[in-house]
Amino acid sequence: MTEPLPPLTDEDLSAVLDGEAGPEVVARVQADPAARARVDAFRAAGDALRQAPVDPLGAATVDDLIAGALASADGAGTADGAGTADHDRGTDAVVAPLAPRRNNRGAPRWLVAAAIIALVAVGLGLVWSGVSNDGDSNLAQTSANKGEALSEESDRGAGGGGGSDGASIEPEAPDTEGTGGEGPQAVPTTAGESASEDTIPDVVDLGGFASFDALRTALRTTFPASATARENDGPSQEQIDRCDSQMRQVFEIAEGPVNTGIATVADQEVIVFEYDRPSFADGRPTTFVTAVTPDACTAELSFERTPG
Amino acid sequence: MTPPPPVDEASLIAAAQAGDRRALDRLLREHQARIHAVCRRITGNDADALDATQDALIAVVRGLPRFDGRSRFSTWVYRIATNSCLDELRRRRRRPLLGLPEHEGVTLDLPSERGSAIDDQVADRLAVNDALAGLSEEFRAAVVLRDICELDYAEIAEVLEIPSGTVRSRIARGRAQLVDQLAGNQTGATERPTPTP
Repeated sequence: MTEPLPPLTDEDLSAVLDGEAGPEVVARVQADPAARARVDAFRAAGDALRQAPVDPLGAATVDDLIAGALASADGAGTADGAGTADHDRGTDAVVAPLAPRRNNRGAPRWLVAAAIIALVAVGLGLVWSGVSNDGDSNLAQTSANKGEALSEESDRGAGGGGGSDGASIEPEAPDTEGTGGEGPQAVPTTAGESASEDTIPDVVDLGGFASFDALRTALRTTFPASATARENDGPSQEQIDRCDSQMRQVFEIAEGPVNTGIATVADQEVIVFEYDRPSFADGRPTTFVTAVTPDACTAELSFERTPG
Repeated sequence: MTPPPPVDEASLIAAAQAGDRRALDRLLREHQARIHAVCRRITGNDADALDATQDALIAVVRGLPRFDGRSRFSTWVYRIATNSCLDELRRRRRRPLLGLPEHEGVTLDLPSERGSAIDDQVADRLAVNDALAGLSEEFRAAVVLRDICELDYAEIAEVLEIPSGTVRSRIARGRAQLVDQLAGNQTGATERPTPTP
């Protein structure tokens, strides 16, 4: 009496798909419609993975990454000992980051440092030339705010600033570590200070709509130029920032929203974001419009607006 | 700017190993896209992918003098990239989360009744991203190396430093989970791989 063959497993079927199974298993799969269907399902999942593209990095970001790597060649042997426990597996290379990069996105550190140094130098010059105490203290305030605003900009999340992401290798400045968790809303602004205002679009009130179709129609061709500044109610800045962050992560959007508004659709408030990003369909430049609920950041509406 | 003329990879590697900085620059440029693609898939988000890509490029530079050509250069690069990604994920686990967890609350509902073609594409993209993110790191790495990097089992075993049989098992179980999740049949807790012997 012959031993019954063991049933085909997912390992067998997966190996058949990958050309890693023996001829006997291949023959059994070919003769079994259910097994063939399972192999087809595995194949379809693999196809879906391959067809969901990863947006390429921008040229400036690539330049920064390469520059950071090349700089490590110059400093090889000097940074050993930092975090090597995590990196001694898988390669002979010691993968020791030269410095934490988590907070380096956005304005380069050298730019922040240069701005602070320049402002302090101007301040010292004014003090030396006999400017009044009032002028001096105002300048010091301005300098501090500039530094904070620039540091905040450098902390503002993935891809922001489009250029120096993750590539800087300068040591962390101690004063910027403390700002990492505060989010963009923590930027203190004073009258006349606009270092961050050009990167955080105003949130406008888009009004009320009977349905999402009506909202879609209103946004189809352009973001309403006549929208009014939002009253200080509705979704908080924290909710707006959180949803913006989630949208950018999910849809792989490098830059922050070009427009942000609040609309009410059938008594439900939604945050409307508009982002510049390549089309999901063909990669052409488009404006991606999405309306999300402030609490769960659930997208209730999303579409692409093609220029022209 | 016109692209540089093609140079065979072995010559480029040899020149870079000999200290030719331009060759090293070019070698890194030719591989950065695939490193980033792998890192984006394994880490599941742009920020960690960027950090892991930087780590991987630095590791390539530092490890290049010791690359001996016993494996394909791309396999060696994938090995470094994968390890950088897994290291980045470990660091992420140790870091306090400043915002929401990476995949919590990202179940975007794009209802078809008011949808359009773009909604469908967005939904498909989200489904794939979410399904991949739902796999354990070990399964995800194995599936990505097979289905995206198109490495064979022996190469994946070399990259992940696990036996070939474990590669076979992880790929199969990862794919099974992926199929379930893409079909909307997610079943509770994510399956974890058994420890490597």
